[in-house]
Amino acid sequence: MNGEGKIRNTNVQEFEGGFTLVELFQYLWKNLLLILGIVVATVAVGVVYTWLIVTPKYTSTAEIVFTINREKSTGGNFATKISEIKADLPNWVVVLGSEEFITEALIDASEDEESGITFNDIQELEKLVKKVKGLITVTNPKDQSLIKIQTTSVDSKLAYVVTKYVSELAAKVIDFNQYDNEGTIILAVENRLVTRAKLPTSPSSPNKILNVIISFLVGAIISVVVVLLKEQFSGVFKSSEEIEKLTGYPIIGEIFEQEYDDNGGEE
Amino acid sequence: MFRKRRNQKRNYDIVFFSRPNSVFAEAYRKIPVNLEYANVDKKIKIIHITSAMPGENKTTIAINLAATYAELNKKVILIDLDLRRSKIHRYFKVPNDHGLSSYLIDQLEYEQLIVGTEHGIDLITSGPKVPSPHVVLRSEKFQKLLEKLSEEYDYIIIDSPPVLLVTDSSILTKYVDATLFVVNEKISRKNEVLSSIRLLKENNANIAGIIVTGKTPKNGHYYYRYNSY
Amino acid sequence: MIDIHTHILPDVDDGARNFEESLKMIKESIKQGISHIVVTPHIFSPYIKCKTKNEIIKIFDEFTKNVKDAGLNVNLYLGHEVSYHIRIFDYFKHGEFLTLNNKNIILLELPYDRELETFEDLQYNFECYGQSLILAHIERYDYYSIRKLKHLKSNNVFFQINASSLMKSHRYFKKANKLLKAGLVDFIASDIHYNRINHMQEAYEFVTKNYGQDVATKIFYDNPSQLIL
Repeated sequence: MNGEGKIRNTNVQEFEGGFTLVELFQYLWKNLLLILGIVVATVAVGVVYTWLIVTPKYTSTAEIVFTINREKSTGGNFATKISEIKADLPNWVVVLGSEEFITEALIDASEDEESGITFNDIQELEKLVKKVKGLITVTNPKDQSLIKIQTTSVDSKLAYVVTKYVSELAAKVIDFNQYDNEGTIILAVENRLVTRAKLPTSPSSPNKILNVIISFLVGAIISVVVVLLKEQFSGVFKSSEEIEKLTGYPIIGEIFEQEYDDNGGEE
Repeated sequence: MFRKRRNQKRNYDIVFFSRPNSVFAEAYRKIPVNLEYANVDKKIKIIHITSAMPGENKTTIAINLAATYAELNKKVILIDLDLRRSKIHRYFKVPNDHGLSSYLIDQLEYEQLIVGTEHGIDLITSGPKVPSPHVVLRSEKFQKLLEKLSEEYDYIIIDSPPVLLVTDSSILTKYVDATLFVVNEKISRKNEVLSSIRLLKENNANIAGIIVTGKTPKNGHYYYRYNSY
Repeated sequence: MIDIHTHILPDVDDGARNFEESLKMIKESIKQGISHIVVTPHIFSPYIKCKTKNEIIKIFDEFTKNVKDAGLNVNLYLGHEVSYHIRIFDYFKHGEFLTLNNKNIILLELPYDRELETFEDLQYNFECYGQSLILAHIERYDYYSIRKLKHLKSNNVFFQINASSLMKSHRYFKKANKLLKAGLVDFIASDIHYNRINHMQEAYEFVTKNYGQDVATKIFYDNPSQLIL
């Protein structure tokens, strides 16, 4: 018999500590409802936030492209000229975004009753300019002869009006034409508003679908973490070793489930 | 959290007797040996079986352990002290119209209290339900009963209610020599087991060891076949 | 037909008040096709003053003689409708009430207001002493659902419903039918008192029509004759 005082039958192999991948899936399966609950809750929060709390913002965009009219231009060397124009565009980007330029554009806008731009005195104008400066973005994509003007605001009409007047003013003001001493045009550059400002009808932000996906992922991560913590602390024991370790008492008997029995039959 | 309550009819079978050569019975035979080795200096006669929560197979273990000692030709008596949910009498198919509770309120004589069963285990059933069992347990009469039984039996196995449910188990610790704590690997929750053990320790229990039940073989191999000799 | 639950004995409970009424009730029963009657006066009822077992036996002996003298051709048997009492098991052990026709079967009435929590323990104890139970007019116990009754049903537990409950306008008509459909009805009896009409023939026809001849025969003839006569 087992006369040497071996407390445990070591024929049974048991895993120690941590948890295996299989156990992870078991934990998750066991807590499926909890996981679903947490995910649903986070997605709900995300939805409420996205649809009800966040104010949508609208963006209006205009683009000006600068092209050399080769027929009109009497000079040559167009390749170099284009490079020069491209090199100069970043400066214009700064100008277009400056308070002075914006001020001019807004004054233009105020002359149109329908634009909704009004101010009673200089202070109001200055305030408006500062506000618009924060909303407008002027860019020149690298190595392209194009200026992009974008205004984003919670007020869709404002976004439209600002982009419209800034872009139209820019198209008027920027002049890359070159003349010789007699006034003949050497280089004719056309400013074309390839993209005109439009009144945005649908918001550019928030990105509703992205938000839902993010909430889902966040919910999934949170729920997995919760489940793991829960199982570690209030789960069941995984092995006799763990029981002995955590309780501090020796195991003096191990009884297997009856269902898995029974290879010892009758006498 | 929620624990599934098994409402089907239980199976009141004593495996140790119905399948004495099974792996299951073998597992029980190891317990008396291990118990001795774990408690070399103490003389263990009155053994108290408990667990954290109900449904962890504590009663099955108490009964089969008593059977194990009986097989070793020890004089053993089994006491059903789960006065609120007693079921040991059903395993032995004896009535429970009177028992320990009736004895402790003087409605029963000592001679009628102890019931012999066919397998050589003597039994004290719980008796009819009483309103406050813990009062009954603290009585001097109960103490004297245990003293008297100690003189007549080699082993006294006491099945008591779960620690976390009622105070009965904690009360019993001073009357017994050893407490065996049952942990069901499938069901017992870590935090409940640890709380119970802490509670028992606070009541100066001598926890002689832990019996793990509900084990499933993890890799398909388990106890080697063990034929009787 | 066999009627296993009646209050025909004169002046012993809330049944027949005098011998004339008893005779009327017996004549009515014979008209309905009943040939064997088990007389089951109340005992231990909290609402009615009842006689003791020995008094009842004496009264019954005289009663059967008188009925024979009156020329009525019917077989009479004696039992008790035992109301649950907290000391019912003691009364049983001291032989203080009658089983049905001296067989090991008891007609038991449970309290109406609340479920008896210890019923299963009680039934188990009776079973250990070899006694089966017939629960009287179970359709009246609102606390017992069909599911619970299915759980209680066993080899030693039988269910009886009253014939009057199968009358369409009866309060328990629906439940009685549910029980029949679930196969939970072992007996149908009249439970006849002086102020209630005997519905046994109607009940028999109802069961035959709606549940088949086999079921009706089992309930009205086979079960009573096998278990009680």
